[in-house]
Amino acid sequence: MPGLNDYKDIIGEKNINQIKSLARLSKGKKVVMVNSTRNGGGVAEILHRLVPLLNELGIDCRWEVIGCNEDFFNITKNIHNALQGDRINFSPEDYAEYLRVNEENSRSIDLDDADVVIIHDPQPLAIRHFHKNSKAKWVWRCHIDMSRPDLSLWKFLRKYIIEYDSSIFSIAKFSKSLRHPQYLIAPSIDPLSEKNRFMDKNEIKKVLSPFKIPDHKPIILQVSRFDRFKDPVGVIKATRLVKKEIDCRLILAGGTASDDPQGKGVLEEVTREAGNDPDIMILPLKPNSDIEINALQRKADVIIQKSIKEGFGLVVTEAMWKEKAVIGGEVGGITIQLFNHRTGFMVNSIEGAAYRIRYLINRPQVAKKIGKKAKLFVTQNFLITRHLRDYLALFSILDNPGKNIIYV
Amino acid sequence: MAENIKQNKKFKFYDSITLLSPTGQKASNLREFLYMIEESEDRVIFHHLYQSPLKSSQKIGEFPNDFANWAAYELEDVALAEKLANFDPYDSNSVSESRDRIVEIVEEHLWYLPAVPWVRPDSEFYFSSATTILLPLNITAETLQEFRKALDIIPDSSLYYHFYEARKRKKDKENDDFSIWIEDNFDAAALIKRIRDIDFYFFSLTEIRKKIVKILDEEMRR
Repeated sequence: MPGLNDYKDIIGEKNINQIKSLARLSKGKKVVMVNSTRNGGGVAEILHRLVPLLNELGIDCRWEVIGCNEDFFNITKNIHNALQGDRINFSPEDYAEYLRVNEENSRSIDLDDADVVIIHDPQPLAIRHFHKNSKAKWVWRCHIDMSRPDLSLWKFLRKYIIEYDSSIFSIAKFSKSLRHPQYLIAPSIDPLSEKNRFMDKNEIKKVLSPFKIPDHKPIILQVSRFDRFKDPVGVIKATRLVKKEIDCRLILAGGTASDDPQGKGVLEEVTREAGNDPDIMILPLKPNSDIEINALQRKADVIIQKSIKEGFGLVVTEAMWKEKAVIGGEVGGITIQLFNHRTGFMVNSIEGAAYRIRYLINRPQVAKKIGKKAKLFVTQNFLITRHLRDYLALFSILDNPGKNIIYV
Repeated sequence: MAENIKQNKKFKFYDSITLLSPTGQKASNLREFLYMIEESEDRVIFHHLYQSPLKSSQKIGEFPNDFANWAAYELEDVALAEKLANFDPYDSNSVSESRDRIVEIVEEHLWYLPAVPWVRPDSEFYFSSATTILLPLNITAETLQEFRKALDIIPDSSLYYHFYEARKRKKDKENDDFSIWIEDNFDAAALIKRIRDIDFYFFSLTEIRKKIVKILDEEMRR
């Protein structure tokens, strides 16, 4: 696994040194990260890299995953959807089961010696409630688009959020009026991971050969979980509009996460919509298909992420890192990544997506230019090293509550 | 240019690392925006007016402060954006004075509009401040050659602290940490003048670094 110095060629020595200086301020600090899944989804991917890097820098950081059952995951998937704006009625039994699992995990996960506990997303949120006498600093790290949550759910969860010392959101528009300090930390990708490392043409060809993807038409790609908020059906409809003018092929490639029980149903909807069209390929990817995703993204002519709700959209970041001009839905974190004609394109409709796909297929030189800017933008803002720096800064800030400037 | 040394004081480089902190407040129209600017704490105004060069992860705007960029890209009121962009906060003696000036600009603009302009949902102005960690870098310079070399290895946030934030700290628009140190330690009037002549408010940190390096290289060759 790469160490911090391996990133020197990408971000420069000055940024490596900055991270090391900051880490010295929190050396020996005991930090626990808690989330709901070890594999699948952006949070797990980030923690797989962030935790070892923090340890390399002298932070005693461990990662705990809550134990839960299928009922709990069904409830928390609904909580996730309702926080992103779906109107869902939760029964008192749902809330009781949610709290029961959180209480159970608060007993089974050892957090007694922690200096800082970082709880990721709503699934383990209420664990804090069952550690009333804890001396640690508690931080709730919200990765999802909370700009318009369902009101009754928000009222229920807010009680547990305000028990924390602070919250972290990915972008300002997800922040809420809360009594404690809130911080902004954008998520990140690891440029040296299997999903993002450089691949040459031969390797791409070899990795993709089992998929038997015909080579003679432009390829449009969306990589995402089979989730309605990612609008895979909308992508098929957009491709059909494009195909009236340009012969092309759509690949919808997606994995599933262990905490997402609704993926199967969405995959069935997508398969139905695709029908027997040979130019629409649905590739259900197994967990750990990182190298395949890397190759697909590098192979694609146009990459789309037509989300209608999005926490951040790391898949957009991954494609930008590979110098692709990405088309993304104008939602959530995509809005701080894609800037029209500069780092990509944002769209608000199926027609808009179709128009931008045609635009990019017809202007490969423009796409290339945008792709180069996109990579530079990601290098400056959305790599794991910047994420690491922000967490280290947070640890120092938590030690100095209420201070605007911390003099070291 | 020979290094005519007056004193022998080292330049110590500092880094200022910031973490953004949203207040949770947002403005959906120009009247709310005006009201919230009037009510915001100094550190919020300071962040949106002065710390924009540090924020490349936010909107890449062509204007030098967050207020002007919001007016241009979200409110789509270019005339207001131009007025807000042309306001230079480093001309003010305090953040509070800058706030008053911004309020005046927005109030006058709003006065003549037939209706209060609104933004689309999700395009609201989100108010934030930033917490700064100020830590010494293990980098010092005793000579202009060492100083020039250091400019290649300090992070952008250090450049911001010494070249932008310094003017606010010293309450003096003309004086950044670099030119003051050069003035105190060397006879280098031409070099100092060229550094002080940079219209810094309109450049990104990448551009500023290139400009200072170019000036130093040219002056040291003379």
